[in-house]
Amino acid sequence: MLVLGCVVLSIVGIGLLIGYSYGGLIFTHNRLQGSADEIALAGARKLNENDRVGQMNNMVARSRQMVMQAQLNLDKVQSDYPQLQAIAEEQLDEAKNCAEELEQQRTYLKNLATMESVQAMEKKFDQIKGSYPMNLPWMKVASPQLDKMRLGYLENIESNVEQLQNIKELEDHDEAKGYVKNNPKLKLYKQGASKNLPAPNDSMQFYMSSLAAPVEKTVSPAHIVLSKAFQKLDLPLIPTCTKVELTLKVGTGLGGNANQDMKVESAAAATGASPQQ
Amino acid sequence: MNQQFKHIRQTSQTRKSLQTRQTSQTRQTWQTRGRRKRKTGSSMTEFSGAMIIFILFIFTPLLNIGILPVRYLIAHGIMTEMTHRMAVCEKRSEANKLLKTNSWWTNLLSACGVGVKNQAATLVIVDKGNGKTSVPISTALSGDQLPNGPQGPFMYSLQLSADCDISPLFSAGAGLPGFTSPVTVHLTSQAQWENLGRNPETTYYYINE
Repeated sequence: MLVLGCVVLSIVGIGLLIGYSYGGLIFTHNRLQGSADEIALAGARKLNENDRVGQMNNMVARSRQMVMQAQLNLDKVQSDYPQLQAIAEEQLDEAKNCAEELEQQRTYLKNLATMESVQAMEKKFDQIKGSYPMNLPWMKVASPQLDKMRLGYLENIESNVEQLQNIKELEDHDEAKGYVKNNPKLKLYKQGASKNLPAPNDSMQFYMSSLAAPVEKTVSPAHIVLSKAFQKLDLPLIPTCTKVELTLKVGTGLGGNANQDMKVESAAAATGASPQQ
Repeated sequence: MNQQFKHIRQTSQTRKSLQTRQTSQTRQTWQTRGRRKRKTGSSMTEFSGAMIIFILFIFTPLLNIGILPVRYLIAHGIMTEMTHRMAVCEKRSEANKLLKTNSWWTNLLSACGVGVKNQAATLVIVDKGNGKTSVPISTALSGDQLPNGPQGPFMYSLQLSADCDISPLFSAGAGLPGFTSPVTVHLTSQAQWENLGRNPETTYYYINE
């Protein structure tokens, strides 16, 4: 009877151990989700470090305004003050050169921000992955795999730049082309497609990235977002959102021996733009 | 040397004879006992009765109660996941909508033997003096409780609470909680509210929209 009692208690114990191992799967899933959040956030924080994306957007908008103004000046000079045409042409060329150089710098910043963000995510992953492997009789956890690191933007977030005033022709053009989001409070340039100027400067590219604008001096901190809010970049824009996918091989060890690949994904948005100085 | 060998041989012979005698005696005793058991037949009857008592009063209740902590762990894990999803919503109203319209977590818990009722979400606000305030998720925050409020900076957390009926393995629906009927446990889970920015369309904080 004593032997039988021991056997039955052992069966109950093993049964419970199997149950706990299934409970442990959920605990592991939550832990993995936390790690994915940390990794995504580490990458997102790097993207707009020192407000570099926000400042670039502002510079692009101003450079665009400068080209437009120089073109208007040239048009006026040609009709009213032909003797000043050379200076006006020089001014326009300079504005165009500045815009082209800025576009090169924007491309450079895009590559730099992407590289630094990816490095930050990989570094964070390397710090975390060592704490996972576990080989218990009732639960086996392998080392996680960083399957995907994507950079993109957050849906419904336009650029941080308020529509620039003072050039009526440019304002009309922007509104006609739908470059500005008609918010009742803040009129922001839309993110995405190039905000081309009217002819003859319509071949120049002016890209503005998606970035949370400062509203009444409130800067949006970097934060985790729902994964479905992440949008893939199709244009040569600076990314402002990260998304990671982690996979972890786990098994319950006893009983049903439920081995599976546990997958989690997380997305994070970069720090918003600071108010312009 | 020869004397020593003789002594060892004698000793081993004595040991062998003793072992043989003991084995035959033990066998005789077992045979006697076996004959006694077979005569009465009482050992088989005792065994089946004891087995029934054992299964009914020890094995089954142990298994029945033992599943409760497992289900508790599962319920807590799933609630944590739901709270996390709510806390990363863009607006507070979206988090509330997620709680009301998303039934995946209650269905999942139900499949795991845990009934969920009275689920409610609140925003827990901790100010710089460690003062704690709880506001229902559907209620708008007052100006003092917003991030730019006078007591700020604040820490905002979303707290999801629910009454969970954790059933034992064999539940009759009524009777002794934990043995034949579910145990009701009040579970809470908390996650930090993520989006502290403001909406440029309205200039309101997302946490208050």
